[in-house]
Amino acid sequence: MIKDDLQATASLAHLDLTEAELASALPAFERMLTYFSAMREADTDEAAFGGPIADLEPTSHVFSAGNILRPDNNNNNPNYNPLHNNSNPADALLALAPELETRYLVVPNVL
Amino acid sequence: MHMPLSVFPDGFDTYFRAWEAKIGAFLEFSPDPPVCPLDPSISVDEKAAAAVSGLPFAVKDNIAVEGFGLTCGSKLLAKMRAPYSATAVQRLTCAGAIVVGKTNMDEFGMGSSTDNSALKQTNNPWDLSRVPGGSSGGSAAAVAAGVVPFALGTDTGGSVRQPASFCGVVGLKPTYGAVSRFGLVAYASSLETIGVLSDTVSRARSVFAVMRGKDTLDQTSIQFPADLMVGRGKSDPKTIGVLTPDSLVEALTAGTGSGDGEKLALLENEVAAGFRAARERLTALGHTLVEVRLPSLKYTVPTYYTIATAEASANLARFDGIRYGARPAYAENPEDLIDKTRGAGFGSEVKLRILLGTFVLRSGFQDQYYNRAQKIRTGIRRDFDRVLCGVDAILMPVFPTRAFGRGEEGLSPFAQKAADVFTCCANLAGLPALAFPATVENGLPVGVQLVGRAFAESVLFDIAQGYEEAHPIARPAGYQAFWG
Repeated sequence: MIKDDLQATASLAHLDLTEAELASALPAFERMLTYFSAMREADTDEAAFGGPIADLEPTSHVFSAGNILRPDNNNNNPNYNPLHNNSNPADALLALAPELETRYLVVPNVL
Repeated sequence: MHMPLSVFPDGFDTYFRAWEAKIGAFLEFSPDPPVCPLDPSISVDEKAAAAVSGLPFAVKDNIAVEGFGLTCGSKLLAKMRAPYSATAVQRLTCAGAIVVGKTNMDEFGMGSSTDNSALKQTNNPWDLSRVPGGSSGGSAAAVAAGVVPFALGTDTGGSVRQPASFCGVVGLKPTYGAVSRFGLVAYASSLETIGVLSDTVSRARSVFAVMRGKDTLDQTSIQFPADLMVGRGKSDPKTIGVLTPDSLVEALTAGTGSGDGEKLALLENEVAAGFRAARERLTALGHTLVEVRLPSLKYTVPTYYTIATAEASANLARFDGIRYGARPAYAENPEDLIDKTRGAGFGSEVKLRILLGTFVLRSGFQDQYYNRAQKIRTGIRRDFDRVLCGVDAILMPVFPTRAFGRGEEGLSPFAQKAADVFTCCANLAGLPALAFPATVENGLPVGVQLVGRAFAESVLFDIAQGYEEAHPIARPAGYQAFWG
């Protein structure tokens, strides 16, 4: 693993890492990727999986019930939703903002 | 400090303060908890509700409770307050239980010691120089010290069971989907569950019976099909699978390399002794123990960390200083604002896992890492299904060591991850697992766990309850029983 690759990954992940942080993350990062590469042995480990794992379906969720949809309308939404049922959810959420001017969020001046 | 007598018995105030000063389990404690509106549509198991009614409980700080903070143990969310309560919490409060505080944890659930919390250090009630385990370490320590009868935790790769084992309490990781995740701050959505840490097995059963159930706010939640037999006593004899000693060693050492002299967590003698004692005692209780092999076990940790970090990299994208998180005072542009927020807000372990997750999902690397891990996950599920066809449950150690110390006495971050082998397999397979104290070895508790078929929590409770009746759970020095 090259440091540039880690730097590129950090940039994709929106992580602002200092040189020192990059240098200290590198050994742990490489160590884990080497460990991950042990998964390659599973490809041909028929003793563990009874056959090539390439033939297995991938699992993204163990007990997937597929997509569940609700009516796309707040007025007839049968779901209990604490944010919708709250008498004034906007106030509860605005109260969490770090800085307000009346009911507007104050954000840094960015272009 | 005023404490309503209905929740806290006489003498509790002093007891709580003395313990909390030593263990630091809570990030927030409120003896007069805020009263939140209850959802009238919630109905809970009546027998179970009666068992938890009036009891105080603590909640890990990545689960939303209206009126409390929701820090996830992170600097980035230090000022976050929860605008609503998680469904699991709502169901318990509907049953009459009372949230009294939020507990410390490894930042975003990433760790095995609670030392990755950016906000506080939590100590093990059995030995204050040792960690309580993690990531639900605050919840485990609070229950072990007897300051609450039960607490909620979350288990993504062992984060309920491992601290339960380190602190000598009961820890349940339910079947995936049995408890709604609505109101839980997501880390690895396909693996994590809200779980229970409690002082007794029967308490864990009652709490779980109240929490479980389908929730329209979590599309992965499932209607629990089985009766949990709340109040049930002794277990019928069961067939329990036990891993052969060489399987245990193979699982712990696979793929870890050995050249660099790093200390790895091999099965500690005391843990091996506790495990042997559990086998003998379960046999003496009339169960049939048979040796089983799970050859896929050696792949579980790399597979688990590939999937968990990939999901974390996506789930934690929302902490950008715009949607969530404290942002910097100044930024050049929106990209810079996001980078700075995350750079300053996340601790090093969280950054490492986001980096790994981003890397395994990068184009060109997906087949090698993420896609392969998902296929191995299928293989691991089948391996467990195969073994669980022949036995009612599988008995395993929880963690290769007892509670470890800090510094030189500790385990490196890599060694801690490699040691997740016995716990993270249940998360990959979605199966229920119950950790309970087996013995105390040289002054520290040793836990074992039972992994069962999907929705067979009742079987695990039955076996563990029989064990507990015959071998009562030991408590740390200074423990006082306040909760009936």
